[in-house]
Amino acid sequence: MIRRNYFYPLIIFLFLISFHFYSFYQKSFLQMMNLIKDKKYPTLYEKIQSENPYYEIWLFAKNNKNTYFIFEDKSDKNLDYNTTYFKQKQTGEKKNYYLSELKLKIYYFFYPKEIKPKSLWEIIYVYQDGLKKGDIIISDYELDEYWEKINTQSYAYVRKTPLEEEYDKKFKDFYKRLKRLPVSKKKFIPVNRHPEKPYYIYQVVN
Amino acid sequence: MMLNVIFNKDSLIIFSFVFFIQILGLNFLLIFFKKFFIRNNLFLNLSYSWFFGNAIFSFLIFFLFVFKKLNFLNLNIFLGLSFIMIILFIFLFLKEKRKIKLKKSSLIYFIFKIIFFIPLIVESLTSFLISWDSLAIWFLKAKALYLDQDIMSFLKNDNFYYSSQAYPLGIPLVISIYYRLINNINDQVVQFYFVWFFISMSFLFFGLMIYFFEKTFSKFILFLITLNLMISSIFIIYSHNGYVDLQLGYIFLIIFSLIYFLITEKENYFFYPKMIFLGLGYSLMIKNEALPFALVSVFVLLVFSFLNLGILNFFKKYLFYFSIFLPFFYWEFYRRTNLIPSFLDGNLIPIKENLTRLKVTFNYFLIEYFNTYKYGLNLIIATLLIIFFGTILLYKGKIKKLLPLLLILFFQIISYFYVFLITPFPYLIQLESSLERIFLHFIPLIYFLAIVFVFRTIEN
Repeated sequence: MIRRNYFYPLIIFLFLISFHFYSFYQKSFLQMMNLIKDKKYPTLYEKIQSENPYYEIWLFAKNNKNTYFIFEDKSDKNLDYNTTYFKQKQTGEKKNYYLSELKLKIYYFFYPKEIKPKSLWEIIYVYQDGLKKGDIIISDYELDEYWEKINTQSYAYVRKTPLEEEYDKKFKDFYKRLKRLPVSKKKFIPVNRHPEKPYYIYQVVN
Repeated sequence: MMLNVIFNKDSLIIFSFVFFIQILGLNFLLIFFKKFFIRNNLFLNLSYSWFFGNAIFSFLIFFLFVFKKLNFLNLNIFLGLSFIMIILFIFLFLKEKRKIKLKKSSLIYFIFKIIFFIPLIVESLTSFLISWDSLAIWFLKAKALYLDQDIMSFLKNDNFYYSSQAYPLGIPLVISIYYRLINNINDQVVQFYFVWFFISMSFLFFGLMIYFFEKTFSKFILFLITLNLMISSIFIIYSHNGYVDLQLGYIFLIIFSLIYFLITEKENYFFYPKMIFLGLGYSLMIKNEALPFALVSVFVLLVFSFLNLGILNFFKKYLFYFSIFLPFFYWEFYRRTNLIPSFLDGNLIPIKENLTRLKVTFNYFLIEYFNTYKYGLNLIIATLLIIFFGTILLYKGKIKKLLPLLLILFFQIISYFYVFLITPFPYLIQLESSLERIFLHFIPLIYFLAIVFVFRTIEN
């Protein structure tokens, strides 16, 4: 006859294994408490939010900043099948809809205000004249990179169509009006989370 | 800092909010299911009352939503209601004091449990919202419910198709009520409400263990087993990250346990169906995945009633309780007449070419099932226990009573296969992104079955 007490070491052993992994989470759970201890923000909510990888975007939403969103990353990874499917059902025509984490955050933070995504081309050609000093541009594409590219010597020798030349000229005019705002470094390291894709913030200065 | 986290206005209101729902549930059980309450130990009562408190509260706010009276709820009204609930509870408790078994050891284990989960509670109060579904679905809808006069403009806005607009509004409504109480949006501390589902699940497991094995094992060992079940990484992560899948798993577990009690305790037959109906109605307000579960549970109820009461008697007695499904039917009617889309609309018949998906889905399920990184050894051990003790029960001819539970579990799992068979989206992407969340719905049921199989073998 097997006595019930014989199971005790086994149960305790299994618990200790599980607890070993749990204690890992336990430590990380207290990480935020230590981080926000010395922060000088008016509310506890903001102290915690300041460790959010998208804190700056939350702040613009909170301060009701006039914001534009450049959404260029139309890779398959960002394809939202849900919305694409519904739009196709509605119109009969398949039109891909893209949804990145950055877009999701912008939509959430700014709600009920809708910040519709624009391509860089649209901003340069359609919206540039309407930009005002202090406006914010959030972009998933690094504008500085393109700026550097078109200012290299080798780029000067690349044959361009008149349209491309016009685009670059307009981009230069646009870029000169911007100041890049830093995205603060966050110290909080969430468990089980992939690092977010970088995003870039610019402010219209003139 | 800890004191600052706990003793600020928003935190205190969320504690009161959770406390209110808990007390509401306790009162509900004490008034309508006294016998059930008196029979249960502290942990079962805490867990069932949390569940029924949520069910009642969700029904009430759903009616306020339907009649566009959500503005009725503000902090003053809430405090008034809380006061009434507490007085009522004291009155009901004192009335039944002699009959209620409240052991000292239970109180000590209750305190132990809370202390054990303090880091989790602290994290739920101090973490920002980041997970995909929380921002895309639940908290976005809560924000819309709080800020907009009419949710329709949000639900019909095709920019928000990604927010699964056809999902029921149960959870977003509760969150939005909290926002109304603080008159602000605080998506951080409200996660305490979610973590309380997790803690209530641990209460339920512990309560069930005590209920079944008090005479066989020491309470301390049962306590360790419960903690062991609860602290697998997947449970911890999903306890308060803004997803509602673990919460749905808890809801399924409660209903599952009630169905078990219904089948095994014929003397209490008159009240379990009422509780099950209420639970199923509530589950349908949470997520669409509750639909197959509700369907098969109602089927089990009907068959069981047909065998025991006669179907006519059952309908005579319980027809009224089908009205608990009204919020579900209302929501279905509302979304269909307002053309709020669901990806399953019009896609219910699988096409022949999709049959190959079954094999792939099965393989994915199998790999996930044995993922010890996520589920620890618990899921494997529970399965082995079910097979081993199930075989003993089968040989002894005692398994018949447990077959309805196996049927419910089986049907629920099959329903996921069916969804992957008919989904119009790339099913592999959907499979990979949702599998672990799907598992959260039925893992608690597997644990429960393992507990019950062991218990019934020992008992027989």
